[in-house]
Amino acid sequence: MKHKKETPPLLGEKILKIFLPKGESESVVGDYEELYTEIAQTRGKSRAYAWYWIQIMKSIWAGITVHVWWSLTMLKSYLTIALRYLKRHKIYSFINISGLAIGMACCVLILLWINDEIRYDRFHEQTENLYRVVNDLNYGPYSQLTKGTAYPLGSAMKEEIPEVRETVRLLPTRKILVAYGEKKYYEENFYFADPSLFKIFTFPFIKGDPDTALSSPSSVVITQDMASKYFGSQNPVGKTIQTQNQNDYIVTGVIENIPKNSHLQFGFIGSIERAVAMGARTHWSGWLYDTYVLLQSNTSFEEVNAKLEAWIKTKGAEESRYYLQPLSDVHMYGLQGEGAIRPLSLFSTLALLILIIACINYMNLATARGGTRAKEIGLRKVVGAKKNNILKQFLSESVLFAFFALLISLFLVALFLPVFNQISGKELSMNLVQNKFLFLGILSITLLTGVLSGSYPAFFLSSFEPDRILKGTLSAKKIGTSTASIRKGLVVFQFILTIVLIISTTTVFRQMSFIKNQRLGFDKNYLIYTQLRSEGNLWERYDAQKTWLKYKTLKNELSQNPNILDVSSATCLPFGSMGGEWGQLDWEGKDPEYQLSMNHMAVDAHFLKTFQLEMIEGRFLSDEFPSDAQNFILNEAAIKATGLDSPVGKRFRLLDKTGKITGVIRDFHFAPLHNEIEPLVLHLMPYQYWMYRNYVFVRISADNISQNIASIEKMWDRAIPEYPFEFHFLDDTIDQKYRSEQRLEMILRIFTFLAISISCFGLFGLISFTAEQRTKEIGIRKVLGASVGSVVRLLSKEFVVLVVLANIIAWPVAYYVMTKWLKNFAYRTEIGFVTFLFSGFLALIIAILTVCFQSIKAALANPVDSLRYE
Amino acid sequence: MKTISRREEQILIAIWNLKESAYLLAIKNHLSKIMETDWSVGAIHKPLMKLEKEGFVESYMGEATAKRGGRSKKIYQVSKLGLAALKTIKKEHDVLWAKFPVIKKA
Repeated sequence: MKHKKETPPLLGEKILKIFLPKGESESVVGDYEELYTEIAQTRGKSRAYAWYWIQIMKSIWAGITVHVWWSLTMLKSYLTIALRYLKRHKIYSFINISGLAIGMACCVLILLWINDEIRYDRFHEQTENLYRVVNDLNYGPYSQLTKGTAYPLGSAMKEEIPEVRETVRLLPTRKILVAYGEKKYYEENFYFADPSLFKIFTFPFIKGDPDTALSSPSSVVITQDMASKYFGSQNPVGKTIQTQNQNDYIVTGVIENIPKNSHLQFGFIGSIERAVAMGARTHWSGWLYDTYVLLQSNTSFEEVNAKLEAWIKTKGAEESRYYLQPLSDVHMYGLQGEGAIRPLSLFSTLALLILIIACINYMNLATARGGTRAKEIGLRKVVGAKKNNILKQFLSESVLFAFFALLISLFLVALFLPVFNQISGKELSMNLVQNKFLFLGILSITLLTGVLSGSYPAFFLSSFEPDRILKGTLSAKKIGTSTASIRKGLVVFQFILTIVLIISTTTVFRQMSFIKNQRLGFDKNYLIYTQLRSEGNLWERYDAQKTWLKYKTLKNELSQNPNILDVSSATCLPFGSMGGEWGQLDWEGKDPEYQLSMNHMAVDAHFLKTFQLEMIEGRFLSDEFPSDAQNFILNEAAIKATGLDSPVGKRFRLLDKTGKITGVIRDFHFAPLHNEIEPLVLHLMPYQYWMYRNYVFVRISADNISQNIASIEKMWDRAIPEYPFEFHFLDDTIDQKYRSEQRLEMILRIFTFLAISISCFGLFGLISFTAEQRTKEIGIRKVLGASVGSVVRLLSKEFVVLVVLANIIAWPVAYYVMTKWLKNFAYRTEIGFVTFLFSGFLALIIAILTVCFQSIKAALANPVDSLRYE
Repeated sequence: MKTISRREEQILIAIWNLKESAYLLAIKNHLSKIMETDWSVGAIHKPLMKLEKEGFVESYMGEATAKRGGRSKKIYQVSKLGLAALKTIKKEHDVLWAKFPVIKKA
C-alpha cells in the first residue's frame, strides 16, 4: 500500500516533551507518533490530527491541576485567613498597614526622584561616547577642580589624539541684556560654541541648517522658547538681536527646547569666534571654556585619560591636569561628588530607615500576637502542612499587607508629590505604567517590604510544634514572651533611629539659627545691590569713562532722596566671588619666601558707611586725599596673616599699586560661614575699572521699602534708560548661600516626624496587646486594692526602660554624626548637652504619652467586667 | 510491603504475556483487546512508571522504526521481584476462586 508519510504536528511533539518525565520522553513521543500514524491510516489524517491535539490538551490540563491548581487553592485559603484576621484585628491592621504605607510612600518618592536623575543627558544619540573635560587646576597657592578649560585644548585634542573623534568648546556667559526692538530682557543662558556642537550633541533644528548655522561670527541659534519670547509668531531667521547694547547677532537657526534633563541649558548659542574677537582669552592659562569630547566608539576613556596626562605636558600647560568624565556622570556626580548623588543618597537612606522602622512594627506585632494564631498553625500541621507551607502562608500574608500598603502609599505619593517637588526643586510626576524601571522598582519595594517584615514572624510561627500547642503546654502567653527579648531589641533599635533623627534635626536647626543670628560685621538688612549693565561677559570691555559718568549721574540723583542713606560701588559682591592675588603682593618687612594669598576688592570712599563697617585703627580711604588712590585698608585677618605691628602708615603693594596702609577694619564676613574669615585688602577704585562689571550698593531707610525702591527705579530710568532696572536684597542673596542646609533642615524635620509617629504607632500596638493579655491580672490587682497609678506604672515601666536605653545608645551615634556635619562650618554652634537632654526627653515624653493612653484605659477598666466570666 | 493494584497486576501479566514485544503501545493494545475497552496511553503509562520505579519491571531500549519517526521503543520485562509478585497473586487467586463456577461463552 502506497501512502504518504504522515507525521504528527511538530509543535505538538515539543509540548508533549515538556510534560513528559525526562527519561521517558523519547520512547513515549515515539509511541504517540506510532499511534498517530495508525489512526491516520485507518480513519484519516484530520482525525489523527485532532486526536493528537486532544491528547496534548489533556496532558496540559493534567499539569495545571496537579501543579498550579493546588498551590493556588492553598494560596486562596491563606489569603482568606489573612483577610479575616485583618478584619477582626482592626487596630493591629491599621498600625501595620499605615506604617508600611508611609515607609513605602517615602521609598516610592525617592524612586521617582532617582528615576528622574538617572535619565539626565541620556537623550543624545551618542551619549555613550560623550565626555566632559575636567581641569584639575593648580596655580600658586590655589588648587581646584573646574570644568573651565583652555581655548586651545579642544582643537589640539582633536588633531593629536586619534581616539578623539570630535570636540566642542562652549563659553558660558553671566547675565546678559538681550534686545530685539523694544523687547529687552536679562538672559542667563547665552553661550558661545564651536559649530561642531550640533554634530556632537542631539539638539534638533526646527529652522536653519545645523552644518552652517554657526559658521559666521555674527550668527546666533536660539531655542523655540526664546523665539516666541522675542519674535512671537514671526519667523526669527534672518532677524537681528543685540546684546549689552553693543553687539549685533543675526538669528540663523531655531532648535527645539532643550529637554529639562540636560545639564546644559541654553537659550542662545553664538559663534565662539565672536567671543574671541571680543577679547575672550585664547592662551593655555585662560580657563574659561567648557570642553566636550566625542570619542571613537569602543574606546575606553581611561586609556585616553592616561594618555592625556603625558600629552598635556608637551603643551606647556603646567598648571592643569586634564581628564575626561563620562557625560552621564556630570549631573550625578558633578566635579567631585557635589552633584545629585549627595542629596539623593542622604534621602534614600532616610526613606529606607523609615521603611525599616515600619517593618519592625510589623515583626513585633506579628510575633507578639503569634499566640493567637497558635491553634490555627497546630491544626494545619496536624492535617499535613509542612514547615514550608506555614512559612509560605505567613510570607504571603505579609506580602498581602505590603500590597495593601502599596495602594495607600501610591495615594499618599499622589497627594504629597507637589510638596515634595517644592522641597526638592524637581518636577516629578507619577507615570508608573509606561516606565519599566519605576514599575519594577515599586514592585520590588513591595515584595522586599513584605518579605523583610514577614520573614522573621514566618520562621518563628512555622516552628511551633503541633503536639505541644494542641495539648496546651505551649500557651499563647508563653509564645508571646518567648520572643519578648527580640522584640525589645527591635523597639530599642527603632527608638535609636528616632532619637538620632531628633538630635540631628535639633542641631541643624540650632546651626541655622546660629547662622541667621551671627553678627556678620556689617549690616546686611535694607541693603540692595544692582549692576549698571548686568554682569555681561567676563571678557567683554566697555567704555569706562561713559559708564563712570552714568554712575555719577545716578549717584547724584540718589543722594537727593532723604530715604536713600548711602550709595557705594565695589568690584566684587560680598558672599559672591572675590578677587584673589598671591604673586604681586608685598608689604614692609615681608619675608620673600613667604607666600600668602589675599582677597582684594576695589571700593569707593562710601563703602565703609554703606556697609556700616567698623574701623579699629587709622581712617578709611577718602576722596579728599588724592594720595589715597594708591593707599590700602586691611582687615584684622590680613594684619594677622602679614604679621605687621602698628600697620598704619606701612608700605603695601598690590598688583601695580604701591602705597600706604591707612587703616584697619574689623573682620567682617564676606563669605558663607563655612569658611574662616580670610585676609582682605580694600583699595579705591579708579574710574578705569568701570570698563569691567561692578556692583552698586544702596542703603535705604527701613520704612516704606517698596516706595523707596520705586523711586530708585524712577531715577535709574532717567540716568540709565538703556538697561532695565534689576535689583536684589543682599540678605536674600546671603540666605541663598545656605539653600542646601535649609533643604536638609526641612527634610530632616519631615523624616523625624514620620519616624516618631511610626515608632509610636508600634509602641501603641504593643502596649494595647500587653494590656489585653493582662486584663485578668489587672482586674485581680485592682480587686486586691491596687491603685490606677500603680497599674499604669506596671504596664509602662518596661517601655520607658527601653526608651531610656535607646537614648544611651543614640547619643554617641548622634554626637559623632553631627560633629562631622558641623565640621562643614568654620563658625558653628556647640552640640550642647541640652540638645541631647531635650531630644531624649522629647522621645521619652512622646513614648510615655503613647503608652499611658492605653495603660490608663486598661487600669481604669472595671475589674468586674474582666473577671465576671471566670 | 509494596502492594500492587489490580491495574498494575493486569499490566504486569500483559508484559509477561507479550515477552520481547512488550512496549507501551503493545501493552495498551493487548489489554484493550482482552478487556474490550479502548485504554488511553496515559492509563497504561502512569502505572508502568510506578511499577518500574518500585522494581517490578525492568526496561531496555529497543529498535527504532520509521513508523515511530525514528524513535526507539522502550521494551519492558518482568523483573524477579515482579515474577515473585505475580506468582503470589496467582496462588492466592487460584485458592480464592477455586470454587467459583466458570461461565463459558456460548
